[in-house]
Amino acid sequence: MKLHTFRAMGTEVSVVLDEGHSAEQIERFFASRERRFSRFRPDSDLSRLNADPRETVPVPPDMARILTLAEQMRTRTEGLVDPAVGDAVRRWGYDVTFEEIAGSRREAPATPSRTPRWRIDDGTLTRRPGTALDFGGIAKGYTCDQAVEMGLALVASAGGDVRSAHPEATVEILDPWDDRSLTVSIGRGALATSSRTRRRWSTDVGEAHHIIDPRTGRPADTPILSASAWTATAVEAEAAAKAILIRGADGLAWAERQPWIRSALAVWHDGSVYATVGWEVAA
Amino acid sequence: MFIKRLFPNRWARIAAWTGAAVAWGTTALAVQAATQTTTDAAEEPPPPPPPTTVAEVTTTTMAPVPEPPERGLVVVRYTPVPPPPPEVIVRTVTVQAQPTPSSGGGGGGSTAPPPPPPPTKSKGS
Repeated sequence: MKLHTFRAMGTEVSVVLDEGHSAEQIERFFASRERRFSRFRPDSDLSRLNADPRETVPVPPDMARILTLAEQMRTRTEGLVDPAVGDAVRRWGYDVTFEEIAGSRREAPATPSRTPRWRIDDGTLTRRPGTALDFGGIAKGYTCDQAVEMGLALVASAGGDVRSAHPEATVEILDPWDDRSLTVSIGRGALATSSRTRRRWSTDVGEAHHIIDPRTGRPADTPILSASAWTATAVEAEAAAKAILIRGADGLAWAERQPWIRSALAVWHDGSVYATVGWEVAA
Repeated sequence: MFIKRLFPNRWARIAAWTGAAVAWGTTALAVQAATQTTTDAAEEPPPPPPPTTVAEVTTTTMAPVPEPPERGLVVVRYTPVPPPPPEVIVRTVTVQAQPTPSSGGGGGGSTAPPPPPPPTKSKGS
């Protein structure tokens, strides 16, 4: 068993490889998914889809699959996690890679954007004109899920989204100060952390971050600095963590009522850390 | 002469002088009191201004603590600290490399359970 780390999808990827796993193969796999789902690459499938003026568009099977998952997450999170915030994210200034944003000042949109609606049926995407999709963390989680389910790695981690096929996998949850909040056993499962203290930039109305609340079209106003969720898949964990963060004060109470969320943790704005019961704390 | 003619009785003169003296004294005290009142009124400081309106302070809507779930809330840490400084450089997951021995095969039969993988870190993106 060995650890392999590389850069893909705008973040650092770490995978645990066992005998028979190929580091080169897993890197190629992540690169191929980035070519499909990145909105920063003009030649990606997603960029071509966003540029397509048609309201009804047939999509390739893998795109249909991730759209179906995204639609499920939108339903489970009661609309709080929706890739259709791509338009709002762009309007708030996150229209280039974060490395290009760093240190610059962006203009905030004059009016909050309204989240368009879309749906996927049998491989066909139907959307309102002007709808821009941004999979964000869903694409990272989906790629980690696929990497593990396809047997390319025992554990795959990308940008805080972890998926494991090992029964004794543990994850250290770090707070925004890089201190360890909790070390938990996730076994065969997934864990993701969503944070509003990263990927921040300045606008003419103050600081903005990349977690957009679809209800307002603005960066989420929440007392939670970062939220973590333990679920079965990385896509679910990503959606759960983001929904908890956006919900704010009742995020953990909401998570506790969701049968698909095993446990959740939140770092409060004052540095305190709260969690639902159910975590398996590792030594 | 005039007084004797007006008040021929000695006791009447005494009474008249006494009354005049009392009247003069009373008038003098009244004038003095009136002057003092006027002076005091002139030197009295102006009344205090009405209380100024307290400037409105923008209050945040940050919830003090999370709403507790039905099955309970675990306080993992309660050490309030100042918010982290703005962070504009992407720095993501890091995993400590911990070389672990592979579960080498050799022979048939049952194999030992695989060793746990190194802990992965999750901080968010």
